[in-house]
Amino acid sequence: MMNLLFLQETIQHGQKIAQKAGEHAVEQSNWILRHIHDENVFEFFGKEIHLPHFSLFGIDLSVTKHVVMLWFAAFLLIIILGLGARKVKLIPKGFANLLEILIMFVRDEIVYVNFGKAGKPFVPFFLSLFFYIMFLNLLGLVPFCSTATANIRVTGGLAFISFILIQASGIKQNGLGGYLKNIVPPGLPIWLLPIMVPVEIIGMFAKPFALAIRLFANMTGGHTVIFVLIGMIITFKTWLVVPPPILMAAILGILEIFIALLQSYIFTFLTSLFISLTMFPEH
Amino acid sequence: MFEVNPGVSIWTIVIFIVLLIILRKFAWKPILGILEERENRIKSSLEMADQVKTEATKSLNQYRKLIEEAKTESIKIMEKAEKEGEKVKSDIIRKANTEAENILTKAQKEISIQKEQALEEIKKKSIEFSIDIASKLIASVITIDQQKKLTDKALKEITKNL
Repeated sequence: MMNLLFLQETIQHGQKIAQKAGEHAVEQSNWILRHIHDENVFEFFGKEIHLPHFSLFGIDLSVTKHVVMLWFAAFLLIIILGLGARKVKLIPKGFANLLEILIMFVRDEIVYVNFGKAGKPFVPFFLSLFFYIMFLNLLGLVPFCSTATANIRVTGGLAFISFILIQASGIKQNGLGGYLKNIVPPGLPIWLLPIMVPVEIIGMFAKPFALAIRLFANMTGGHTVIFVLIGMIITFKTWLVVPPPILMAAILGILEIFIALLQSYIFTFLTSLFISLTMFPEH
Repeated sequence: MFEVNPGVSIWTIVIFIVLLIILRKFAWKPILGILEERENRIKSSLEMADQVKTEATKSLNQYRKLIEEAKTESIKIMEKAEKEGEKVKSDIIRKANTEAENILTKAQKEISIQKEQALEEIKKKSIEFSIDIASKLIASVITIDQQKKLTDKALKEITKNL
């Protein structure tokens, strides 16, 4: 009897501990989610700035944390590239060199590699897309900033632009008839059409959807891991565990910089590839 | 977190389009223009360098050929000059030899003539002397005919001895 009572007490005690730990975990996950989640509050040095709500034609166009980041990245880009454009001379020097390397990389490795010289009018679009995504990704690593590209709505918006451009450039290049004919690959037997047409139409929408998900997931995942690592310190509540998570978070931070560049490259490159595929399906 | 709210997407699209328009005008156009200009310049410079190089090789070969030609020419000229020099030398030597021979023969002739003359002179003089001495010695004894005979005899003897 005594034994049973003891057992019960023990179980209750264990349950209490588990409950506490669970509460703690929920607390922590809330804290992490707050950093990834979009909200109408912009936190700056512990101060909370409440952003305005408003809507147009029934659509909620409230300014959120991520919208602020979108503005900020665009603003930074215009300032940096506007100043950089003046520094780019026939004989390159200093900062202009770095800028030129990136620009020539986009031009040669993203646009010309898919389009050849015919992609010249697309170059400004891809440059803007690449630099914008890169800045949004990198700003996510800056203190007090949040990652706009870790928001599926932002990446969805960017993918929507890609989608429109993919279809529009296909129609413009081949005409509406040619565009519709190019939906299925050339040389397909007629009896396969009932299967292939729906598949290809699904593929048409799947491409930008995959673009959006890929960018969103990569940016969210990396940041979440860093937050979880830092969160370990808070969970364990001891100074002894401080060094390993900090070290790992620092290493992951470096990896994040690489991922930020890589994902902007992948997004831009795939958009370029898809556009060239709808424009020149015979390739 | 996933409630349907296209607001942020619309913001994204609008901001991106505005950004694209601004950057296109103020950043991409000038930068891409300069990059293209630089590439064209590098291309043209390289082409020019190639051209200059081929030209330089061409002229180098030309000069080499010229130098080779000049060398053979100079060797020819030198050989010719040597031959001519040899000829002139032998000519001069031959001339000098003949000259010397001429002079020698002339001198020998002269000497012999002179010798003849001197001998003649000596003959005459000695005859005169001997006649003088003889006449002085035997002035009154011998007639003119005898004298003449004697003289002739003496003359004969002298010439024989000579």
